[in-house]
Amino acid sequence: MGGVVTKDGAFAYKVAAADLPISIEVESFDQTTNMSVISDGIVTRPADQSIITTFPLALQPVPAKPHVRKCQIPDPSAAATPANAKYSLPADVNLSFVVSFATVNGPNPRYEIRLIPAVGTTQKRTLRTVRDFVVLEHA
Amino acid sequence: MTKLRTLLALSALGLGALWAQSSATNDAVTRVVRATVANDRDDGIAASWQALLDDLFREIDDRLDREGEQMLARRRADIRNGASSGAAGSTTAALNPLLPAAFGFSFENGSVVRTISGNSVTIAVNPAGLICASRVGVAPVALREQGCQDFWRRWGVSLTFDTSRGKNPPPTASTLKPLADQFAEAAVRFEVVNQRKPGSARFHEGLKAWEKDAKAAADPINLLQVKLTPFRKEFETQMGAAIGRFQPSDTEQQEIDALLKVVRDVKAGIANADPEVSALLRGAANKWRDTLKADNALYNTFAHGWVATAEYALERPDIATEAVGTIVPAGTRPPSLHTARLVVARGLLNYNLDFTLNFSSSWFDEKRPEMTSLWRNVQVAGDAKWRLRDIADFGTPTFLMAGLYMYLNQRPLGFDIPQFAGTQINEPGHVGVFQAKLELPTANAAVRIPISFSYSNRTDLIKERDVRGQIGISLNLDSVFADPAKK
Repeated sequence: MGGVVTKDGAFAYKVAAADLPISIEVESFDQTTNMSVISDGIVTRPADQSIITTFPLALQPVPAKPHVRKCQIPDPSAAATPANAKYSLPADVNLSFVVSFATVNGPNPRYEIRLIPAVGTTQKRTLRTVRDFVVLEHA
Repeated sequence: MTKLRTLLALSALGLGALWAQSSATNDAVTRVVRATVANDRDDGIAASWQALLDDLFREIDDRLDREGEQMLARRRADIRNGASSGAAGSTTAALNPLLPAAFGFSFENGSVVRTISGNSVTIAVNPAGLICASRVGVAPVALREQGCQDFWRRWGVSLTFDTSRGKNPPPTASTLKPLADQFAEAAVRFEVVNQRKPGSARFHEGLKAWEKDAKAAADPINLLQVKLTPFRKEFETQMGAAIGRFQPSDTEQQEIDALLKVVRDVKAGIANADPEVSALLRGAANKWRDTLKADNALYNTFAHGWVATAEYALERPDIATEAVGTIVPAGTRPPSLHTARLVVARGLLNYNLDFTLNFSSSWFDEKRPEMTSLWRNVQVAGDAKWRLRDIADFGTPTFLMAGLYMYLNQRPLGFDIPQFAGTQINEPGHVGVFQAKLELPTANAAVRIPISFSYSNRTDLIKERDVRGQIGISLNLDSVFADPAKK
């Protein structure tokens, strides 16, 4: 599965080492302003959901793309990765998104969440409600 | 008898549980049922899970209902497309404050204050918006984003043509002679104040507050999701199994009911009484309520903020003359009208209500014999507009009630006409109009159909009570252009 994030149901994505770092983009459609935030990443053991670590995440504006906000899930094995984002495998990275539809200005308001692996195919989710939840299953 | 009682009690319990589920849950499972590809189905299942969490939050904090309900209808209904109340065809007693961002078009039948009704075609254009649409793309313009000709995009023009001219009144009805020239009105508008766009400082303050609250909610909600992982996994498995049991003979409602049962069953298994889950739910619900409050406050700034628009209009009269006594020589028109208008709007979030006020005054273009002055009238009009619940794929209908008062300082045509169809006409005085109007959207709000009824104590020419109906159709291309994915 290396190099390809694969969808595993409504919430989970299987992630291989080659996929990391994974960029996460949130794009708004039919809204004047992209109002989206991401939670900190909670890393858990798949067996019992015990928490290994928590690392901070924040969606940032993308130059020349006013409707896109972006952040990155770091590679836990990379030397430059902060200590609180380093963990041993297997592990699940749990993420929650909160968005707003306060500036709807078109017929089909929605957000698209894109998981972009370092190599391989981008996975997309369409969000028409104000929250979403994603698990990256890192085997 | 006991069996019957038990059955009734169970039915009541079942119905109660069903009603306890929010409309968001119903909407989400309907998305699952209607999905034609796996990705859409998964998005619907994810939305159903979030709706289940919302129901749990609401059980802890019923104030969430109020915050959530306010988010039902979030499409703007403050764009002016049609003609002013003085036109031969108009469905509007009080004009909306904003012009289309690029281009709008309307056709209206039936007058509000004019004695002689007709048909009006109005074209509303934002010239700078059109230029920017060709330069930076139509979507940013339709979304009213900053960054291209921001000052000039506050200007708009509209042209109204009376397509019934040349027909009304019939040449035989009086000494009045209809004009064939269909140009009726030209207007130039300038947005003096517009808080309903994201460029304002107030909006940025609200946005920062929302981001802070949303982040504060996202973290405990994420932790709650982690703790509820076994239930989420069971939910996904049960939803998949229920979908797998669908039969071709099942109706859509049967499929929805089957999925709602899964939501209900899984939700019942989450033990609110468990101290750890209970504490997490309470913390997440509190933070979520703060987020919704900040969200509503920001929406209030965006959709209910102050708007003030100044407008100048030139109106050409639609009744030409042959000679009227010795006052009007043959072949001349009644004098044109200059109108200055201020349109102010402000909304109330708690009632999803928008108020619009119009103040205007008109002057004749020239002073003719027997006219007391150039000043013709002053007018005040206002409406209260409710946005009703959003209809998927159609848009948000609006209902409004409007009132209009006009004081005619002198004869409305500027000169004396002895009679019209046997009635004394063309007198100064007071005009009052009450209007009720329903605007039905279609094609995702790009096309709207206004239907209105008005009662007036008199019309401009004839001092008689009048009850009328008006209908129109308007096209606002903003809605069509706003989605970049549709380009």
